[in-house]
Amino acid sequence: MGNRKWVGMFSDLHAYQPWRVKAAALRTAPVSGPHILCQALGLVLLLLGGPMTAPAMSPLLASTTPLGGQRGTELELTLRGERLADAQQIIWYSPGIQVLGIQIPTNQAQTVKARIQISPDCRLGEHALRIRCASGVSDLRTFWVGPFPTVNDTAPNSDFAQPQTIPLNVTVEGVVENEAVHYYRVEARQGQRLSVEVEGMRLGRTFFDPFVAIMDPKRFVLASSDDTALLMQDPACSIIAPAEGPYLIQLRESSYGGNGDCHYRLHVGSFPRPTGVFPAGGKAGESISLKFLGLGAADLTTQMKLPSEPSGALAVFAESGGQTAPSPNWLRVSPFPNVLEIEPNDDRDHATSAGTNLPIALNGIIDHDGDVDWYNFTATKGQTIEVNVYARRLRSPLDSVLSIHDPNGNSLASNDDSAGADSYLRFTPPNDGRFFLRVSDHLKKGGPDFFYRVELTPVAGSLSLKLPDVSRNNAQERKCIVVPRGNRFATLVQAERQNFSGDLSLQAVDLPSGIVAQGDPMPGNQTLLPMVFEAAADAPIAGKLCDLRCKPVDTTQHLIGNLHQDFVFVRGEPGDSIYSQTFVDQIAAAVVEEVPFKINVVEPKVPLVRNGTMDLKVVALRRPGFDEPITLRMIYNPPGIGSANEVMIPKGETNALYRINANGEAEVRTWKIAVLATAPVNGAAAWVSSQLTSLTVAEPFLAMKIEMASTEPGQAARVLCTLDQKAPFEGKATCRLLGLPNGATTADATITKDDKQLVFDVATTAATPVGQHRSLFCAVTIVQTGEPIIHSLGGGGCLRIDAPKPAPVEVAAAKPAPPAAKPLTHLEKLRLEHAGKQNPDATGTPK
Amino acid sequence: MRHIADSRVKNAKAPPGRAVLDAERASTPAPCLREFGRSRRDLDLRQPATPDEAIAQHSTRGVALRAILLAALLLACFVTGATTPSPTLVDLKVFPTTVDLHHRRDRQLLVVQATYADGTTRDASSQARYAFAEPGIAKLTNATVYPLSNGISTLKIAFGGRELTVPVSVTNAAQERPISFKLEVMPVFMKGGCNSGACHGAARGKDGFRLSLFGFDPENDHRRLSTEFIGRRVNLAIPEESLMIEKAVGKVQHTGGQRFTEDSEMSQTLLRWLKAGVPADGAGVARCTGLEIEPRQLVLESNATHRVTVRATYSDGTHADVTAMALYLSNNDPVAKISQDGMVSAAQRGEAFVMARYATFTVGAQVIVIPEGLQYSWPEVPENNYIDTLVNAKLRKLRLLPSALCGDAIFLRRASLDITGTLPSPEEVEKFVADTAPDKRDRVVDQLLARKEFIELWVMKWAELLQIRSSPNKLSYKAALLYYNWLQDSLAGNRPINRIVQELLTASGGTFKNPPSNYYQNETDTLKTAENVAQVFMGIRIQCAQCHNHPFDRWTMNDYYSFAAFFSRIGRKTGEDPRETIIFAGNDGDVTHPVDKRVMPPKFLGGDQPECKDQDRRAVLAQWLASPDNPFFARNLVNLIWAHFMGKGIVEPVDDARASNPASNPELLAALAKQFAEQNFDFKKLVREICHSRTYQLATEANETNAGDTRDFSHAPIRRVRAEVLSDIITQVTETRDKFQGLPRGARAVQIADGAVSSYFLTTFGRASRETCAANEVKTEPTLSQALHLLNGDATQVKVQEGGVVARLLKEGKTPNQVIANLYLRCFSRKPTDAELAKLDEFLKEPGSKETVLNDLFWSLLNSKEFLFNH
Repeated sequence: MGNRKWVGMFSDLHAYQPWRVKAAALRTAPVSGPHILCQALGLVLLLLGGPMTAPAMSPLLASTTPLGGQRGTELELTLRGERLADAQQIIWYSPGIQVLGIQIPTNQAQTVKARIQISPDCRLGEHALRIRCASGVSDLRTFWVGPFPTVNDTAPNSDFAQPQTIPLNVTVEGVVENEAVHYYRVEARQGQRLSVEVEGMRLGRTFFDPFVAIMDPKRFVLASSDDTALLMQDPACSIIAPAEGPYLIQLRESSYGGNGDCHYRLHVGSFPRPTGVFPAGGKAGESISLKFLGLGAADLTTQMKLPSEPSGALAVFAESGGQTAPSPNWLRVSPFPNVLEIEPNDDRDHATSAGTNLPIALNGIIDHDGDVDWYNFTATKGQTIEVNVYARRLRSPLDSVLSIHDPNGNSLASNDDSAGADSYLRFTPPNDGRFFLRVSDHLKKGGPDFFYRVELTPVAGSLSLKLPDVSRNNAQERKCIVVPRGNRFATLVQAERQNFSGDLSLQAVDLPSGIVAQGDPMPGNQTLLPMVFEAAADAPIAGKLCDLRCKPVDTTQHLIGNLHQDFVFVRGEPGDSIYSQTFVDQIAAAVVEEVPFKINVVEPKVPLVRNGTMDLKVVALRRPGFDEPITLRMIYNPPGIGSANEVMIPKGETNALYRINANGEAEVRTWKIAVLATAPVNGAAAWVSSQLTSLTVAEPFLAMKIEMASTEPGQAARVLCTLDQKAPFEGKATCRLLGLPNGATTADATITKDDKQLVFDVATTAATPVGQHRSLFCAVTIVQTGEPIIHSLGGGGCLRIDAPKPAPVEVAAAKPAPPAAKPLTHLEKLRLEHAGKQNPDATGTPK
Repeated sequence: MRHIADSRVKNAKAPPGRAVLDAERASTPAPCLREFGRSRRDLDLRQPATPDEAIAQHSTRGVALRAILLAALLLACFVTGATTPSPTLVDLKVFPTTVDLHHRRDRQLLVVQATYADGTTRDASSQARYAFAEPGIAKLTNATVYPLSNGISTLKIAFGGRELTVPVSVTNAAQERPISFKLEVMPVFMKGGCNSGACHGAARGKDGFRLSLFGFDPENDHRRLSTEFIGRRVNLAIPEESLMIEKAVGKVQHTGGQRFTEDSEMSQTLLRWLKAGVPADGAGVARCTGLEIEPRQLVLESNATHRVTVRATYSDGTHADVTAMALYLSNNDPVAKISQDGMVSAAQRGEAFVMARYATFTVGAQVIVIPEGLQYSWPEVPENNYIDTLVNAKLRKLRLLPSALCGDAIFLRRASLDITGTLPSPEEVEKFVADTAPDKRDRVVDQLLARKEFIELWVMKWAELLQIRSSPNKLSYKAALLYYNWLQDSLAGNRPINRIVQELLTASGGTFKNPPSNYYQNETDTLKTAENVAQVFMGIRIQCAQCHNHPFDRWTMNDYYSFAAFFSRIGRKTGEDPRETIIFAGNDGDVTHPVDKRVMPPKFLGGDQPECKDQDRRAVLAQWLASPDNPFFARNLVNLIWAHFMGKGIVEPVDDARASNPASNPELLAALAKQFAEQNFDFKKLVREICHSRTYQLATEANETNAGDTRDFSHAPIRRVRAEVLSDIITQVTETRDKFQGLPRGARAVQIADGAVSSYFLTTFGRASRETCAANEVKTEPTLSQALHLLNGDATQVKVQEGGVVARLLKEGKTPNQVIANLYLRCFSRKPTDAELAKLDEFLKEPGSKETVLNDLFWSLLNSKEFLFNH
């Protein structure tokens, strides 16, 4: 069991893509600038021409053109989507991009133009953004900041003989149509580095797996790249130009696919393109010497002071000759020191010593095929140690295998893939003493950039939060807080706890003014809980990024869980696998314009009993003139509670009953629930929520056993129910026997808290089918404070309908049976027919 | 004989009188009367049908008279020769050459074979005279040696003035050997057919009695016989009344009828076993380790008979005559039948293999049957290389004559289609035909081999064998493409095939990063992988042996599961890219024998049991499999390549080499394989040798002797062009461009990487779906839909219009006749005949557009057999 848990715990890490992780990287990137998370620049909202199109909910952002831009420049960004006519603001999730103005072309809801300025120190790479409109907030999309000026791909460039000539150190933006191959020609000096890197799948537009090659003018491929450990499906490669002259860059889809959505950003330049960095981490606040790997003979080292806060993935950009790699390499910032391998350490006798003080990080490179690295460390008996190899998680090509040995070489623990391609295990030393740790590659491969970092740490708890997916097809649906004025919005929050279990309190920090969040603490045995956000009627229409946090209710635990929200852009075969996604650590929240309806749940005064049902009353408040049907949906079903997927408030009506039920195992306690409501407003779906409502699950007042009864069709039967009164109730309870077979009827009965049994007189008809009918149960309705408490009791009760005894048989003289007609042969028929023609009357043949 | 044939070749146009003189001269060295007969027939072949005609043709009276006289004389000689043939005996052999008898019941059947100057063999066993040098050691009855007393003797055999000696040794002459269940009783079930699939060998047995199919599980057979229905099936009190005997001899009702008679050796063997108390074999009982059938080759005239003798070898070094206990079958009954006591009876002209099956072994002998009194002479045809020598040697055995050499234009078309999958252009045809250099054929083969289309064609063929085909959730299109590209790069780099195969079989790593590892992603089942490897790389189908010993070959379940054990430790895990699978050599995983759950150690098929500890088992296998030590690898590959060029494998089907499906020309197969291995598995060199051979360049037209030959390469085969090549040549001659998924417009069908890419044309014309590794997936049988598609589909009509070849030629100022010539040259690689031109002229005279008529002609040419077939 224990192992299963750990595997499960790290299953997410398989899809871990650190370049998406800005939780730490963003704030500690060497080039990070002023921390302006959102640029609320509705400063210059230019309305050109006529009146704005009617505001619509749920704006949609599909793409940005260009896909990216050079830092330190100003450019016009075209944002395409739907229902964007009331755009007011671009919300950037990371600093460095300033919006100078937004322009909405006349009568256009599909396009927004924005003038943006990218600061010279803007972090390179992906920047997430949304458009906030007066009536809603769009999906999240990405914009890519690069170090080079951008040029567009220009036809003809699909032929080796007719390449598009470009200067060095540019970024080409282009589209690979089906089976297209693009060629670019660049000049390089002898000995100059020529690097290419493609942003393709990372752009998150569509399934696009690019391939790139550097060729000489005689078509010889000098370097090529399809998939890389560093960039996954995106390629990068580089050469040192062997001679002065032109070089050709070929770019295509790796299987000669492509379509109009296959956009790419191809960086071509003299920049260094390392594939790793060593050591892949260091102690927070310390200065370390880093060596960039995978550059061939050209050594590139740099001194770097690490940030003072630990970080799971810190981006470092290689720089050489005034050029910067367009995307980073990754390292970890830990609160403990490094040990670097000392080669040779290929066997236990030459193991690199990690000393006696844990926690520690071991750093090494499996630098040739078949290489193994050994370390020794000292640990004390019973002290559980987490041993984590960070290799693929930092985009190393190494597929690690980890094992721990005693001084005699006996293996005590080993692991291959518990953390994605990385290894992870928990080790509890059986005795005080020295132990040996071995790292190798699963396929016995190795190379100069097969770097890794092994962290030996005590077991520590961690927390994080996210909003779960609510739609199979749209990973973006309801992943931000959009609250109409004077209305509510609700979302589920999902917590992930590692090495910690306990109640959590949820907190939304820095919400836009006028929004209030409500949410109970999340019980220790739960991972999901609803939160409701309510905006004042006069709250200003505005939006921003805010934090969603959780922390243990137990204040002695010093843990904080932040939002770690994924957004999947591209899925593909097999099995809807994720190919492109991003992660953000903040949530966009906005107050938007009023919507013409609001809903409330009438809080039930009575509990929902186990094995019982309840009709939750939902009341809609409609603005005059708004009579669209409203679809209701429970935000979630607490464990043991079931409900219909959707319930409709019909057109023009204001009430609906939402039936919910509890099974026999439902936990007896009070839950907070909410009901979501959606209705079309100006052609798009608007979402609101009810208030948080308490729902109590209680034990039933009584139990019942239906004794088996039997009768014959058309006869009466008495069905005896034995009652087991658990809790007294006031007045009379109505009992209705249900599940009777066809034709069987009975009258409702009543009981009081003192009754021990109950009898239903069941009438049947001749049509009542013979057999055992085991579907009987009894709906018992107890009314308390004017509200019904509906029990379903006595399930599986049986009414047996027996076949009537056969009537005595009268013996009558049997009449002789008429002689059976003799079957006639074809010949006989013909004869008969012939005879009939002679004498029609004789055969009866019609004339 | 030869000088007659020489004269026939040299003087093909000489006056008949000269031939008669030659024949006369040939007839002089009497008493070879048969040769007279032949000369006469030779004459008949070339002479006017009747003497009257002959007279009419020759004015010289004397000559005519002499011819008549000679004809009368020849007729007389022929009649005499037919009744009392006395050809020259040139060799006498006895099989086996030594006799060792080890116990009282031991015996040895001898077969004395006489070989005559004309190559025929006769069974002289009954006419030979036998005498022992030392009497009292052994006796001989019906050519069978029986022991009398311990000692050594020599048997002298005399026939036709020749003498042979056979050393005979007898030990334990008075002792009875204890009966063995496995060595003596199990063969009864095999020979009696008891354990065949239709009878008690069925999975659930038959009528309540089950035996293992073809005896794969003797232990359980013994248990069932000895412990089930005690007193009935086996009656130890009255052994003769055991049901297992009474049913088999038909004394009581038996669904299978009478299998053998009560006094037969089979019945007696069962009885001895029953009388001995149905013992199981002890640990010391020897195993059968080999089987020999002798003589290995018989050349019989129709209606002749010839015995064979079958001898088993045991693990204790002894031999036993199992002629009576072996099961016999012939692969060609109309040519030669074999009776269940080992007597071969020749019938129609042809070649057959007769096989003997005993224990787990099947061995065969070649039987060539020639018509009685056939006249045959071998023409001195030039031999370009060893291929011709060996093919011709076989033809001589069969008394067949090779067809003539094909014409230059036909050769160019054939070689272009076979080597590159393209047609020669009209200019190339005209240039080649006009070339007078004697080595022009060799040169054009070399030029064709240098073209990239040659590699592409073979990449396609290998892609079929390796089943390169994307399939959902298994092999992504990208993986298939990378796999294909790897194959292409490997073949284009002219890497030796054995290295490519070794790389494939030992591939580890990601299916994207190291594409040959897709081999283990394409097929993930251990047993199927083993079956595929055996079939594709060794040409052996071991599928049968999964459940029972192979009925027509030597492969046992032990062989099967031991071979599968090489693939039991292949690990697979999903790569970081979800489409990618990482293949690795795992540390554990074994194959167990389904009968007794034994863990099977890896063992080469038909080879040793190697040491695999701490090694990737696949690497151990690959090292052996693709090495010259493996007798199957090189033979299988050369056979595959041969079949591509010759229309049929030397072993056919090409991937079904087994004892019961022997090579039609084993010497040729061995020589090709040896050459291939010696040339470091360079398949381009092999193809060059095949295409340089005269055999490849023969005409398709058969002569009188070889019309019925389908296996011995005496004439070229007529083959429908395979689907991809047909699609490509239609596109080529119409000058259009195709579009296939995943390839740029203008790419050729043979370049399609992924077998799952669909195309109506290719499917209709029988392209391999790559769903199995069987070499016969490609279908070239004609179907109605093919005909309809060519007639009405867009393959021809639309392409003729789209390409606009006729319009272009007319625009260039060509006359209609020049256009016709061009069309004929581009489709048929020949010019139209005068008759064809005359016929076409009538159409051109009709009112209307010449272009329409010519386009119609183009369409007709594309629909003609001459276009669709490689000939």
